[in-house]
Amino acid sequence: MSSGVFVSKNGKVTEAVGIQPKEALLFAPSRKSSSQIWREQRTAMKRENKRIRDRFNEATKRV
Amino acid sequence: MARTKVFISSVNEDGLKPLRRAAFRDLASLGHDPLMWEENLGPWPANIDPIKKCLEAVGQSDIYLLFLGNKAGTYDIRAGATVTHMEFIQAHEQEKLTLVFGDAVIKTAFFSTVKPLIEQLVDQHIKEKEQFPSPIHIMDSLRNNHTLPLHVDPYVWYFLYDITLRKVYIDDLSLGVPIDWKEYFSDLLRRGSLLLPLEQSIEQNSARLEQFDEAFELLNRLLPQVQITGLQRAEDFLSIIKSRMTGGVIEHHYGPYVAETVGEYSDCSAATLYIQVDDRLQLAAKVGHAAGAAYYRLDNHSSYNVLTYHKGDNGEQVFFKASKHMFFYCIRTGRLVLTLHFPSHPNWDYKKFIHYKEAVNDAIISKNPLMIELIKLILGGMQS
Repeated sequence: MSSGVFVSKNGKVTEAVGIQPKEALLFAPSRKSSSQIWREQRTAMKRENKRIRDRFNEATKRV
Repeated sequence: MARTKVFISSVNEDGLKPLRRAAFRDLASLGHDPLMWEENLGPWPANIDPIKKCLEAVGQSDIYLLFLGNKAGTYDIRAGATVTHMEFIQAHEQEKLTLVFGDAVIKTAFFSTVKPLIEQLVDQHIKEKEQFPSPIHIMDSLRNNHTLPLHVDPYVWYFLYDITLRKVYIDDLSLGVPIDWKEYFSDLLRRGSLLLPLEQSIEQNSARLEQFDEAFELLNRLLPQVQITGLQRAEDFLSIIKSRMTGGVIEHHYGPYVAETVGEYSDCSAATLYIQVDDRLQLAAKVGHAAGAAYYRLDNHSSYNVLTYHKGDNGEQVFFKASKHMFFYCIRTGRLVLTLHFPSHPNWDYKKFIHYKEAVNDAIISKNPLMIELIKLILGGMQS
């Protein structure tokens, strides 16, 4: 089964299978980049900010 | 004046009927607008889906009030939840003020005996299957446990567990003892009164947040138009970055509410900056305890700097080396590769990294992506 992890050993990059030496350089491609995460967090921040303002508007509205 | 709509929710069990009726009557007499299936919601008109109607009523209410006894009620196979539970989820998702009253005896049994059992079961399941157990699995396990009170439907335990996962407080409900709604709603008014006068402060903070966001958006557009001639003191530049990159916890998530802390990483201990010149990456600066070779040839795939360089512009990657007890977060911008060194706890080895690779990536990359964006923009301005 694929581990989804790669290893660089002696200058060669292969999928990490089995026991790995302590010197092995391991890495796994991330599902999201920092830019994607930032964009998502920004969208969430705007949404939450709007929700808070809407709630306060509703709470202070006189009907 | 608008009146407070209170949706009264519970399983239609005999023990709770007088309580529901009393709540409806008392809340109406206090001037509120209670909504309850058998009083003013259903089953009219005849052709309407009753579940849909209840969920819509929850959506229209201001407060969701739940009474929980020993019966689970109607289980909907399609939803994998009872109707009452669906109403609770709807209220929680729509961020309604949610008031839960649980039978005091059942609540005590839940917190003293059942909750630890479920937590043990969840831990065991996660260890063996690497996923959160299904509601059916939890209920089956509880059903087979003969030390638990037989008169309580297993779904009730699962429901209580879900309520605690969502961090909703459960008030005591003593059957036969009326709830003093006047006192209860007076306390709610007190709590609301503490928050409402903060409207102006919250509005100001909200506006400032938008201003910060707009300013960053401006930077985001302006910096790519700028040519930065270089760093005055590259080590100082890296030191400033290093000092702001703090460590954190590494959490493995099982669904939206459950996370397990599987490790930690320390504050950034070193940073290097390499620049591509011809067929090599040349060291531009380093701070902290980094080996930082003078250069790496671009065909040297033993170097995390080189591997990141080959990911292309704006490529980034977290690496791990057990012998160094270190995570390396590498970011390429144009011809530059920045690497931040984050020490790992000595108990991290290759097995743990393979097992929790996504948690490691998430922990390090998600820590403060705004700072990483800003660093990338500045480094990007130095590409001429």
